[in-house]
Amino acid sequence: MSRKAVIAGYRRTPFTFAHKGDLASARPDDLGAHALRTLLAATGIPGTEIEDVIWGCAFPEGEQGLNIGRVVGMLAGLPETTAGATINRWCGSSIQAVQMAAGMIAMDAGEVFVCGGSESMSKVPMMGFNTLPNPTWSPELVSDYINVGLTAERVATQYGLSREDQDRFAYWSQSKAVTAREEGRLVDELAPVPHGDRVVDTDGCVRQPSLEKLASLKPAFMEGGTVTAGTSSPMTDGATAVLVCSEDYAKAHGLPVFAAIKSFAVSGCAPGVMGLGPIESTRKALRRAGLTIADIDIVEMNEAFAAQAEACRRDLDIAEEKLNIDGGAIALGHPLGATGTRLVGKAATLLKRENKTHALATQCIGGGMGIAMILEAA
Amino acid sequence: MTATLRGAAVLGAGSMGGGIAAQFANAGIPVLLLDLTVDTARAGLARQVKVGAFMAPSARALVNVGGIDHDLDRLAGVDWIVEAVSEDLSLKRDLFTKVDRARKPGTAISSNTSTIPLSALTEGMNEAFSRDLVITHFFNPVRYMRLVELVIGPSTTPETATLVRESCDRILGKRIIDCRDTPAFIANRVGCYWMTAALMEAFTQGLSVEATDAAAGRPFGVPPTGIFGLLDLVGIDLLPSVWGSLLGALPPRDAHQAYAILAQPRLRDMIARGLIGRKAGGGFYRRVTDARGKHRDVIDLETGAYRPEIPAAPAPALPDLIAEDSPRGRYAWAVLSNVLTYAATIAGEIAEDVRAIDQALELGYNWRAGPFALADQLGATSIAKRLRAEARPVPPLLAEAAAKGGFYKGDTVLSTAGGHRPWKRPDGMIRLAELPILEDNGAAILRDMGESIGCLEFRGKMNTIDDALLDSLEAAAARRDLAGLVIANDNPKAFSAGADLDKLISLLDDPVALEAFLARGQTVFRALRMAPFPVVGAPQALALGGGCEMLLHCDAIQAWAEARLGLVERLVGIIPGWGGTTRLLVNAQTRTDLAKGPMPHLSAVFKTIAEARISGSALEARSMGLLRPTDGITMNRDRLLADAKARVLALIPGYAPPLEALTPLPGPTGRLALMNEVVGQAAAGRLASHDPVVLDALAEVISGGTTTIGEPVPETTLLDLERTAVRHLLALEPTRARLRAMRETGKPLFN
Repeated sequence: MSRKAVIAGYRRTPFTFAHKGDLASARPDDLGAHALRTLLAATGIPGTEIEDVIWGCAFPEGEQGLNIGRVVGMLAGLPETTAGATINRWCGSSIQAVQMAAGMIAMDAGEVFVCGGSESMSKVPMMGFNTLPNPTWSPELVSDYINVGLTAERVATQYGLSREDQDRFAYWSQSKAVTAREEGRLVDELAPVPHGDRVVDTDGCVRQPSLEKLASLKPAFMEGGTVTAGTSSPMTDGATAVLVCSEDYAKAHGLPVFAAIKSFAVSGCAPGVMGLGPIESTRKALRRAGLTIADIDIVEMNEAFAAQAEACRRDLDIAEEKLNIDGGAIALGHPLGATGTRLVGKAATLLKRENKTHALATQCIGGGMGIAMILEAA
Repeated sequence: MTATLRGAAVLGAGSMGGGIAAQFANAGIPVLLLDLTVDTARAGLARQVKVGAFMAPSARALVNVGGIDHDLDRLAGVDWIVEAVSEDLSLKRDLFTKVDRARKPGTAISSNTSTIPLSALTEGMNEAFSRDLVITHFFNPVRYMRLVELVIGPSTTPETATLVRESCDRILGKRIIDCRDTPAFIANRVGCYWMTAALMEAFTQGLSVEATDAAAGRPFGVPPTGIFGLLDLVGIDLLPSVWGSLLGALPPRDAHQAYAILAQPRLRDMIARGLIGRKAGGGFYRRVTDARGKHRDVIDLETGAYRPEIPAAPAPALPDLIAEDSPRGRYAWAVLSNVLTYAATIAGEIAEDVRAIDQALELGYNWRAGPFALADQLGATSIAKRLRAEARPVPPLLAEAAAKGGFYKGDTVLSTAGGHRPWKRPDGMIRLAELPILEDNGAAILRDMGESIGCLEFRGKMNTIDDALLDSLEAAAARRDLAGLVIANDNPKAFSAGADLDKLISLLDDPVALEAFLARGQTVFRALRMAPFPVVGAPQALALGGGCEMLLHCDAIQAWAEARLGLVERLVGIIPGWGGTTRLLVNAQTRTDLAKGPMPHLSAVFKTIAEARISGSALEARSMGLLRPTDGITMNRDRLLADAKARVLALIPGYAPPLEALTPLPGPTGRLALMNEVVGQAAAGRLASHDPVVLDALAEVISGGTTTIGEPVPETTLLDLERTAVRHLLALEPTRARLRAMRETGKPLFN
């Protein structure tokens, strides 16, 4: 890479349950604009210097259509001269957005970028309003591509993960998130959202977990299966944003540099086991960084399902104490296209907070893909 | 004079107040529900949701909650305020003082009291307020109990009287019984006496709980809970308060006092022991689960101890029962003669004619016939004769009925002032049975509604659709002497339960005849749709499968609010094949409540047919797409026919049959998308094993077969696809097993 890109800021709205949560009636573009404005206010960057708003969204239609990247920039009050793009790699959309900024910086095509994502799973259904798969595909392939809950069941079987294993993983994720919240470790990243007659300032999906309650839930996707609503990430509304700029720019403007982007990879796998995507993408990213998993101190891996996250953790040999230390998506929620920048932003700020050297942000992606980014303390 | 109700308020969110508020919302009227605090109002609203007071979730949104003091000024925005707080005169009067300050002048106020007279409520209130106050006595549960007792005062303004009367009738859907300002009005005055008599005579005759209810229930056309079961249901603890206040308000010479029910030792004992009915886990009956499984215990009326229930022998019909020389025979006669004597004695005090009393009991207590109608069935003369033989007094009204051939004669009814008079029917109510007959083919009767409007009335048990019914539909559609047609009937169970399964099953192995039957249904329904005059379907009860498809072919539907519609074909392994799938699909194109694009409309239609659910109301049928937004809902069952006729008349000017629709559909890609949902549902174990096969056939039809986006599909193609799908499914053994099971057991087979 010719020029180094760094992460110099991270904010997100609280994540709340779709349909029943406090932000269910909020527009996803407004949520994105709010995250972006809060980020810029914190960093003090003048809008005129931002080259582009690169915005992830998994189902960019309806209220999150019309090139939401451009809409978010305009709503946030950025000057007309700042461009905007929407990135769609389903759940991997906003990690991809960070990569694009880093790539543009590397090729000297800009200095400062805002990358982020918005997803209202209340306003736009998963798979969008008009699912029209290619009719040459078999129903099985369409199902593997779309019915991600069933892919989690398959991964659980393949890796011998029992119902108890998954319940424990979910309990663990929730416990970490509850503790992080109680200790005030989530406050810094939040951008409280004024909505209606109140301000939404806490994550709505985090609950005090109970193993008994988790054990009492019925399988959500497959009769006789092991995956439940409790061991799946919930449908979530929210938006996230990170500031990506060149190392030189950060220095010149006295920005707090949380981490530099070290390497990146995407990979593909069979759609029917999409949850295993992080394995190959992480291996590729590690190779490209010249590192091994043992060199990674902090791992932010999305928990689409306990089954796939635990399978990836075991396969990649990630130590438990390094994984999602403030809780993962099962606890915090997973607003599809917005999750990637939460993982990158979280991993970068954790490197600083925990005083560590290397971090990994990785996700599985429906349709059979993985995405991974390695960060390095700067 | 008509009155428009723009908004209502209900004070008190208990079971009555909450139920009244829900019924306003069911009719689409915004309503403010106030209780002591917004929280208690919200809790009251939540209870109504739980007990099913709302006809659809959308109605719930029309109820706004608030606290009485906090939100008092919002009362200025409503036209009618219903007070439904507890039966405490000083509480009500304090509230009225507040309400009077907040209401805009002329706002109607009604008190939902069951015991306090209007004269007591208005005493000391200013004149303007008193002129706007009336009593509306509703029955619980408000959604289902069709009675409201109305007391209009001597000084009530005509505006208030009209607004309340019309709103109770047209909006809340109630049958109004005008009452005089006497204690407990009509239904409870007679009904509570009946409860007392039915209870106390059981002790007199030494009957068991089971034997009493067997005699007091079915033979009288009274719900089978009889008397002890009814007391368990309403709560035995109500006796001291409700009967206490009623007896306190009645004169000492009133026959009700003679029973001294409140001193009955067994009742007092049970109340003291907390055995007050179902809400307390047991009363005269209690449910028990033990080694023998689930069964009931009953109280031994002598010892007060529970013992296992011994089902009583069914009682004979009432004429035989009252003639029986046995404890239960003597019991039935005592109850009958005492209730009739009581009702006849007080009739002049409480009502204008005996019909008002009969209706109050029929609607308020769910009796099949009120006391006077019952007396006519048994013979007023023979009852009077037996009373005289027993040297008991015969009230003058009964004597008159006995002398003049009954309480009812033709279209006349005995006035409580003496003499038979024609009974008044409110304007705009049409009774089907009274309409002249134009044609009768056995399966259906074509009647004349006047103004060249015909009304086709099905006459079957469940109005299943067979060749004869199809013939009569076709004949009606082909008439040249009609300007419009209403399809309606008075069957309490079914507008039409759908295609005749026997017929369908008989054709299974005769492909030519089967195709002919399928095509015949499509042709006839299409003829209905293409008739040169408007056709309005007016469902009053279940409209299932083919019956629902028929409605979908009408130019408009005017449904009773409690009509229940459903395309339930999946349950017998097929899909709607008489054009119903096509009509639902074409109608869906005009829905504005769905997202744009080729799929949301398809998904909505797919869901309605795939779920095979029967709507709980007409309003819910609308949310399922079975009623269009332009289709009408009538709250008052008595007005359904008149509304349907008005609907036809409104459609006549400039009427032309609808054009054939061209529907944009996605073809195989849409089928794949719909089926992916099915794959997910099947994996999750939410479908029976044959369902995906049925649903794939459905998906193929509603995605338009082999079309692609940009090539709209004509109706005839969709109809062909429907028939092909049904034929294909009927050839499959699991579908045939479903059909047979439905015919044999009446229940769906999940295979």
